[in-house]
Amino acid sequence: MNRALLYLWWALLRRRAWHCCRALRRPTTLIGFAYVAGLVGFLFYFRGHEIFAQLVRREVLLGGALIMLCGSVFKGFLQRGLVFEPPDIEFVFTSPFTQRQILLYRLLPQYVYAVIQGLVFGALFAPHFRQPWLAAACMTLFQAACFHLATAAAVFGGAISERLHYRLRWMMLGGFFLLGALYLRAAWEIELVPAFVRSPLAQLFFYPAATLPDATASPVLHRWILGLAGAGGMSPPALLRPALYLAGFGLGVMLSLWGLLQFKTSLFEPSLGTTTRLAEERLRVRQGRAGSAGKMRARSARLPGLPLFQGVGALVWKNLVVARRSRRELLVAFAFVAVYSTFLTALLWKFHQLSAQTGPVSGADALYVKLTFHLGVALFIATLAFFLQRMFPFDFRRDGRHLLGFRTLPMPPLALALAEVAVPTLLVLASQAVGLVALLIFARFPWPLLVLLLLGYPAIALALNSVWNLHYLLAATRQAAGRAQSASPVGTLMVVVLSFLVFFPAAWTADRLRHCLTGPYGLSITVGTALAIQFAVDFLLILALAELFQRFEISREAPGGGHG
Amino acid sequence: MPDVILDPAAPPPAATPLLAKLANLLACPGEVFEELAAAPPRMRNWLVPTLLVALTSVVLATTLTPKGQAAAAFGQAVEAGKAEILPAQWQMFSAMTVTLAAFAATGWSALVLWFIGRVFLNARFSYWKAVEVVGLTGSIVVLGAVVTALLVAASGDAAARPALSLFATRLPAENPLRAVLGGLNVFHLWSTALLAIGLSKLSGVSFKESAFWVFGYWLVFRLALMVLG
Repeated sequence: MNRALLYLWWALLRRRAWHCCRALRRPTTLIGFAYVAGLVGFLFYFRGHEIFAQLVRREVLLGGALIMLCGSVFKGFLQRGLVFEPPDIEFVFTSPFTQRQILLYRLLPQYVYAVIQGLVFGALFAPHFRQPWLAAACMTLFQAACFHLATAAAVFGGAISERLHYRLRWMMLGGFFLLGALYLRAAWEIELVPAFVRSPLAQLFFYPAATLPDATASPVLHRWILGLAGAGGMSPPALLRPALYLAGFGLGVMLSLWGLLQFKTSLFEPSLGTTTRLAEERLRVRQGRAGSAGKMRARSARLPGLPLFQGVGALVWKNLVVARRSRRELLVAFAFVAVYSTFLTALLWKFHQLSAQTGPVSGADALYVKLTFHLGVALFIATLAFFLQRMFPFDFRRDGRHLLGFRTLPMPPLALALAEVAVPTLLVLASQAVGLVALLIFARFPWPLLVLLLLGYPAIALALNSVWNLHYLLAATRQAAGRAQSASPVGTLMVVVLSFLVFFPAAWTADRLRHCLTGPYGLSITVGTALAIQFAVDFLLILALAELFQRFEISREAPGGGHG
Repeated sequence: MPDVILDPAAPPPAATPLLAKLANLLACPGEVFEELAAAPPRMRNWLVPTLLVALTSVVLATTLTPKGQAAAAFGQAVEAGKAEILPAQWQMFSAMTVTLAAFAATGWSALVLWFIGRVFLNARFSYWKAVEVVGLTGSIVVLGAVVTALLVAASGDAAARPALSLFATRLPAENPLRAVLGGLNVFHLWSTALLAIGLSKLSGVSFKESAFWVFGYWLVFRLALMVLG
């Protein structure tokens, strides 16, 4: 190992650790760190529990080792070339270091990771091992060997042609599948093979490597044709076994490292390509432009002459055009809606089939059960909005990049906010309509309730889209100010919670009124009141969205521009 | 993706007669499959060998099935409420089953071969080319059926096969080891190797690569099913 590279690694490690500590000043990072630390602390506190003993059983450890080994090789092979930091490509590759030195420099951070992993493993599972230090050491060495294999696979994968890489990838998957099946059978006695495969008839699937008369002698086929017509103890030298373990794993590490260092293939070109690609992808994610950088060609669409699409309506038209061009998103949403609606329709059909079998419904209780069931299905259709909202990104998610341009448009902020949420809301409603049609075929609602029900879907869809667009708008303002960051899990979690909380006022009111109001119109009045409250909340959310857009000031959001 | 490239200016190569193809398959299969890959699909290339397979299999079935077993099968049919079926009809049913099985198995194996080429080897070739390869490989099945029939007649043991199980006759028939040894049949291995050669010629990949998948499915996967089941 070159001393200069060792120093560089040490300096970078220190700097990264310092940056991590500094990042803890941000509440979201601190919450994430506290969560992980709390989880580890929790696990450490309960490390003596029986469940931990189960986790270090021979079968589980063997399975884990298989996953680590196969996963490392496959991940490295898919990577095709080593990933370096972009400055490393410029500095390390152009400096007079040998290939081996660069490889070891690349492996150093992984060794540190392996040591930390081994320590955590040892600490958590210490009560269940006779020699915890030995387990931790073996784990560390095994992880290091996995890193060697992953690196070797990455180097090898980067040196072969694209076509060969594709074919080898399938070969590896096939091998892993077979290995996994053998492991499950041997370690857990799980039989993945269905019973019919054991019959002689199944040999037909392997023709011409099968004797036809043997295969067709199966009674099943004849019937079908007729139908047409332990744990061991320690070995005596107690010290020998740990030594053997250590020697075995150590040998594995040495052998894998030796194999890795034998590669004469050039590292530089594949690594440069991979590093550049990953850096570009990272940048795109940071800028909120997920997906590949493929070129998109689309014909220009003329703005229709309808008054609806004039003025701020042009934004709606633009988002509709974007939606029409986003076939992948629409197809995914369509498939989801199809499955969801089919399930609900089948549920309705089964319910009515069972109702028909029990005879004509009579009595208030039976009618109440039927109405409650149909309302439950209606609620299921309403919950579709929670999933679909994320599937139609034709709002501030995509328009966040054009925020600066939008500020120059002569449009009232309220109208612009409404235009932004219009397309996803309409698409959500259109998707819900599929399930609703099926519901209305089977169900008979009193007409006041039906009207309120139909009004309920826009209220829910609008609320959800407004809440999420608040989040997207905030993210877009940060990006516009040059503080581009991908959404943190804590931030996303808060938005999810908020998207439920916006229904709380209406739900709370409905719950109160349900107990107070009885009689034939009690339910309708309750639902109507809740709906009115929900629309009021929606209006407030849209207002908040417009206000946020209105207050967005580039100069104040700019980095170093004071309080932003 | 590799395709079989035909030069339109070049004169079409003289097609070898089917009988010669079947004979050459035993000696130089690579050349036979090379010619097959370059020529347009012909139905007789797979139809005739498959019919031969069906015919020899029907003959072999009568040799292999002891009279007692046939009677038991017939008894089952009678129990199943098909008492009107005569023994002659039962023989016909049996022959029909074997014939149908030969065609169905050819179609299935061609599908597997085509799928391996299309998905795993990233190569494009016609499904009917795969059918021709599997059909021609049937000549080995015919040879295997003849040898098996002779072996049964010579040894007097209906379970005798030209496989490693021949050396483990003392093991009971239900023993999985015997099943695995029976899977290592000389003619099965031969026909699998021919499939691998055929696939390599059709897809334009090396024999090693095609052998990985063909032996992986027709041998390893099959033996794994025996062991795992």
